[in-house]
Amino acid sequence: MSFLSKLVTLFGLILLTHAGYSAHEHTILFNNTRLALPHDIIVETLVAVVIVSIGLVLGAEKLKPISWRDWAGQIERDGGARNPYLGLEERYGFWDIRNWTYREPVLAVALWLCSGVSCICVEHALTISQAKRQEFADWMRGQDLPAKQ
Amino acid sequence: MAPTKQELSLLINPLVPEAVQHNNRVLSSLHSLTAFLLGLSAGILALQSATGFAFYFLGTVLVSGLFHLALIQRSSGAGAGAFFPGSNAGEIEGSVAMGKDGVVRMDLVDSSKKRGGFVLRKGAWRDVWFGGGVLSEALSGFVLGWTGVGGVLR
Amino acid sequence: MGAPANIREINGSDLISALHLAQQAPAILGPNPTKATTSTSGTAEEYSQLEQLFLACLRTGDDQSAQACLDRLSHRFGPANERVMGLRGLYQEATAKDRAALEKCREEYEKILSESPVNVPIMKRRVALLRSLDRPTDAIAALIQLLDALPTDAEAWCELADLYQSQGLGSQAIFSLEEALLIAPNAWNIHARLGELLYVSSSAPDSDASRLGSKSVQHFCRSIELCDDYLRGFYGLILATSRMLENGQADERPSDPTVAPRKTLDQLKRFGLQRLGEIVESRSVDDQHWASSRSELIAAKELLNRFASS
Repeated sequence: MSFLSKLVTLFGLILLTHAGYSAHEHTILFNNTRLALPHDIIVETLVAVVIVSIGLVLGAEKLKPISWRDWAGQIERDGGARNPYLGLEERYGFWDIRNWTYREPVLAVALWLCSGVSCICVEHALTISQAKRQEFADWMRGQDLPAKQ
Repeated sequence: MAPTKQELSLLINPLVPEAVQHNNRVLSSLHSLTAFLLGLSAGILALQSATGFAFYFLGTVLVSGLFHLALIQRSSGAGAGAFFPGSNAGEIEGSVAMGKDGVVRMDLVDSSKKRGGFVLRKGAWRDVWFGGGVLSEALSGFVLGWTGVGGVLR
Repeated sequence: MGAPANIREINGSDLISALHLAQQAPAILGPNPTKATTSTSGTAEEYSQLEQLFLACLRTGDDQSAQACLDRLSHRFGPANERVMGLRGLYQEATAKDRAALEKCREEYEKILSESPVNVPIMKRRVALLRSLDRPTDAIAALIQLLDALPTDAEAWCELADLYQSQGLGSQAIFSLEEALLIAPNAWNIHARLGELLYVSSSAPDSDASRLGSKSVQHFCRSIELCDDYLRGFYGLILATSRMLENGQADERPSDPTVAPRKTLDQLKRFGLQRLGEIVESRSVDDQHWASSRSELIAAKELLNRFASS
């Protein structure tokens, strides 16, 4: 809920409380339930209802797109880490821990076949995929990467 | 038996159940909150019997209208069809049909000037206006607020 | 457990993020990682995070923290839990000194399997170990045995496809991926993967190139249909359509109704190029967000340049 919508809702609620209190005083004062409420209380109540409704609608949680393609597209735009089918390509159950490969060089296969394309990423992926577990650990320690917090 | 239009729609353009649930939850929580609020004001106004219910329906229409406006504005014109599955649970607007050769052809609604490229669900506006427990939980919330305040004030 | 909030966002395949996760291991495990926590409570979420941490530690060679994670997991679920057994096997494989030790691991798996033949995690470990020991034929046999017992395991079908592909058996690999797609019909990355396999197979000399190529185009299209702005899908679509166009496999009026006519292919190619250009443009703006898939982006740029210059 944004600040604006909170403010609007709060203001509407104050109005509504005020209207309720006025109506209460009115009935006590005249001690007569059949007497109609004064117009200003009625108007105040109605205005309060409209304002609170606007505040609540503005403050409602954001809706999520229900189409698969929008949802999946958002996941890919976020880097693909939340992809529920990532496991089918990573296959943790079949993980070869001693000689693991870098993220399956997805495009590498296709790139290989395209002659005349000199692509750094293919070489990069291939060199890393040949690295053994221990070698990688040593290499990484040497790099002294700043920890992401 | 040939698959129905709804089945084909879901096959070609699946729904995300999580998102559908989330949207329904948002909608019903909005409706129950506002219904309780409408109940409070109906109590303050000392409305009775049919007038009270008429007030409730007017108020709900107001809230749904506001919600629909906000929704169209936020989704840059796609409308309710992008967020709610609609009365036929996911059937898309436009024509989807399987030909004799087993090839499925799909034509989206062709008002391309305004909403070309969006996949919209048929009858989704009904979810916004009548869904979210307007006639069940929200109504009981309304009655609770109505009688409660009416009893205290008078 | 003071797990960082972004632990779920970490892409398991990404080396850098795996290392970051492993670096946080001491903080997550607490000051005394060797002593297992006395409480057996905790949500399923926490334990799946612990499993992730275990994998990350093993991967980066932090065996001590991995051992601590494993101790906690087996303390909670008991050492006889199938999943914990699988993880323990993984740990033993990782810390095995030589080939003999690995063979010992394999014998252990065989022993466990003779007692409980459908212990799925151990079956999977056995397949992986056989593959790691350069015995792909045995690995395939073991995997088929697994799939006989459990035909609805999409992960196993994908692994089978990968194994077949590594042995140069393209059509079997394609069949296996199609089986996986029957189980997970909306998996856009598997559609793209199948498209890639078909694309590779269609380049083999003695193949029905036009049919395979057109199937590959279809699967790339489906992956794009299931996932908006899917870079990998567009990339494959452009490659597949342009090769079909160049090799003269596209007819104006193909006799086979499942093969797309030339005009459609041409439209698809132009559409793909246009969208890929838009994607590349939008993504290179906020580059740090794309650290994990930068190589894909570079490849896409290369492809666009190639088509722009020709």
